[in-house]
Amino acid sequence: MGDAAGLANESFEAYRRDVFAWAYRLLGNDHDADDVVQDVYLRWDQQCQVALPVHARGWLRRVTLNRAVDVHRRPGANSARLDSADHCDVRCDARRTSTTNLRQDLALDHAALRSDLATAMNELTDMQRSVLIAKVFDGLTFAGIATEHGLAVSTVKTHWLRAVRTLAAQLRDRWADEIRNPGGMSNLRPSSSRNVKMSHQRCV
Amino acid sequence: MKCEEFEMMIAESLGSELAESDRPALEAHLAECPRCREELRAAEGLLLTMRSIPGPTGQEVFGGRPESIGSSDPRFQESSAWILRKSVPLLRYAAIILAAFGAGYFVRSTNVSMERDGVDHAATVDSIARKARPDPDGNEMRTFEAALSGAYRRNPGGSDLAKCMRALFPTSG
Repeated sequence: MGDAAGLANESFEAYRRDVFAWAYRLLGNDHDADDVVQDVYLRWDQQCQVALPVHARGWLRRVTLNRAVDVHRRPGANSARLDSADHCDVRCDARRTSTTNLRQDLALDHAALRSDLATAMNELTDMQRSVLIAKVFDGLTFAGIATEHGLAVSTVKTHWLRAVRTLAAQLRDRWADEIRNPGGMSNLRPSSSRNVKMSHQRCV
Repeated sequence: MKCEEFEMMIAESLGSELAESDRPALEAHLAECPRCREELRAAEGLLLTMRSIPGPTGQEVFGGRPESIGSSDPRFQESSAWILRKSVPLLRYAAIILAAFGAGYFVRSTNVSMERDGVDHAATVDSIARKARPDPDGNEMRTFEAALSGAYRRNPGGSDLAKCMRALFPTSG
């Protein structure tokens, strides 16, 4: 039993940074990401009592993304983000001259994008989420993803296409500006989230 | 060709893995199919926007330290402190209950062992008391052994610790 726990801990160490990074991509703060890391570790430990997952990294990515989406759905997590958006007014006075405030606005844009993405990912299956994140954020090839998950390459491509289509349908309205003008984030256009947009409109 | 036949090529194109040999065919299809063209353009915009979302900095990903969970990482230390704070009252109650059970067990086991071993403790105590050296005033309770035997005779059911305490710090009662 002790050996199994030691093995679980040791093997988890190899992936801990990845787990944190996957959670952080959707949640955007290290506190929530840490919560996810600990939850995933507990799941991993339980799983290792039975058997080590054959495709460990793929297993961990799926579990992490599921947990991150769950954490994002928590009422507290959402209200914290909205609070940060509502505080825009307080920062408005100095924002036009301060680089710091420009950075804060950009961070607010990113927070809104993360929130939209995490919400839209509710509509994806476990595997679609995992394939999407592996491709977009981890930069893996289809063959690499197939190996990590123990799937055929064609299956991975199908998951990928369905995930992209579903997200595009979900985010068509919310990300209309970004999709029409990809890469334009640095111009500090109003953010995607409706709440944040309203805050910015009050500011300008 | 139907649009469905280009799905895999569109998937590969979105994943930047479209083979050069397939590119002309896909481009020809996109030139004549506004639906696929629009879908590809929107999906590319979506993926570009997704890629603009920053990941954690190196410092945020635990600063590259190799320690295990629950070790010196400040985040886990913070979590451990939180768990400790939450569990202190529980531990306190557990300790009180454990101490009460322990004391009860100790008293009971002393009495039981005295009953079980068949030794006549009363006779032993009397012999110790007889051997005790009286002081010049004729007071028997001058030595520790004599005091202990007196305490035992007064309260044979008490624990050894209680007897020692009574012998060392006799009260008027």
